Amino acid sequence: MSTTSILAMHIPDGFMDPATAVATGVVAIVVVAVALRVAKDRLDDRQVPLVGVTAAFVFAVQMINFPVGLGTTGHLIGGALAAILLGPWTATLVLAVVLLVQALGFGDGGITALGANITLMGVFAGFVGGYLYRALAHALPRSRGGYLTAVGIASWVSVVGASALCSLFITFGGIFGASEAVPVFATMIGLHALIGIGEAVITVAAVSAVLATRPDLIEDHDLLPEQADRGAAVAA
Amino acid sequence: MSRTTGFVVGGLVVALLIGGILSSFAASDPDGLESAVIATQCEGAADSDACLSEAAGDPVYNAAPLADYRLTPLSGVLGVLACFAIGGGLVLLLKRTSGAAPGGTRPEPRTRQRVE
Repeated sequence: MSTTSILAMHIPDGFMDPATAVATGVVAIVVVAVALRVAKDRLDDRQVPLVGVTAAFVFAVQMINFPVGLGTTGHLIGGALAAILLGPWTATLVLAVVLLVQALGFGDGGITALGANITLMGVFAGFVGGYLYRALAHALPRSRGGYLTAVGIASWVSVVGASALCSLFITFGGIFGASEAVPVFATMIGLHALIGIGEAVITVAAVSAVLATRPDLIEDHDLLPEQADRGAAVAA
Repeated sequence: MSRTTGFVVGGLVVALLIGGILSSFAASDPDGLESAVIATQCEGAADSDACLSEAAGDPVYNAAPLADYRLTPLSGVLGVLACFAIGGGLVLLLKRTSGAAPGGTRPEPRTRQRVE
């Protein structure tokens, strides 16, 4: 078995043009720099330990590839989960830590593609997942079911959206070229529509566990189901 | 043990169990990105794995100490601990050096604040 097909592969060095690698690297550096600032100024002290736990959990669950049919597997991205728990900025930091450890320690994801991987799984999944979750949680009934529906949909969209952006990087901005764009986009989005279901299931399960134990640690208490919100208020 | 310490220890234990034990049961088929490349770029290739490896190119950085051990329990445990230490340590360091009063710069808990 070749090393590339053993496990989850983030974007390797060879898939993108240097220009795309540099551009996504700049995006990642800028967002991570701002995220460090935001964490320093705004992160609640009680959330500090949650950052390490979330990074550890995302790393662990990213190791678990689950079959989605068609001879394909998927694994958690975790950007939406981290954004729901900690907000999109800190989610970017969490994913940057995970992706850095994977790239430097485990050879997963090319070092020149680290910026693109952070841009996709941290910045994109974190901000799209995080803001969609907020919008949906506001719009849906403030019940446990409504809240977790918002969590699930936001997670699914974060994965499918990230797969589309990844397709853009590797076709128009990479070695597969514009001529391959249609099949690459179609296959990536189609497969990640399935993988996104796994992302939604895992994210809903993880958020449910935090909701049941320490709802006060979750960002944006006003979005929580009413009962959990009261619990959070008491705990705070 | 404070409630937060309990939560952190519990969360870390869950992550260690997943990364150290459950990871052995991970499926090994190509993931979404690999499958998409195989289905498009490597369509009709005699050896799709070889075609995929060629497309991925040689790693620019190839000194990853655990590159060949991704699926062992030890590598899962080490990765989980590294992420916990770096993620938690980074934020702790940031908060410590912020010069803000203990408890952060927020004037009050956000519980009752409406964001947006």
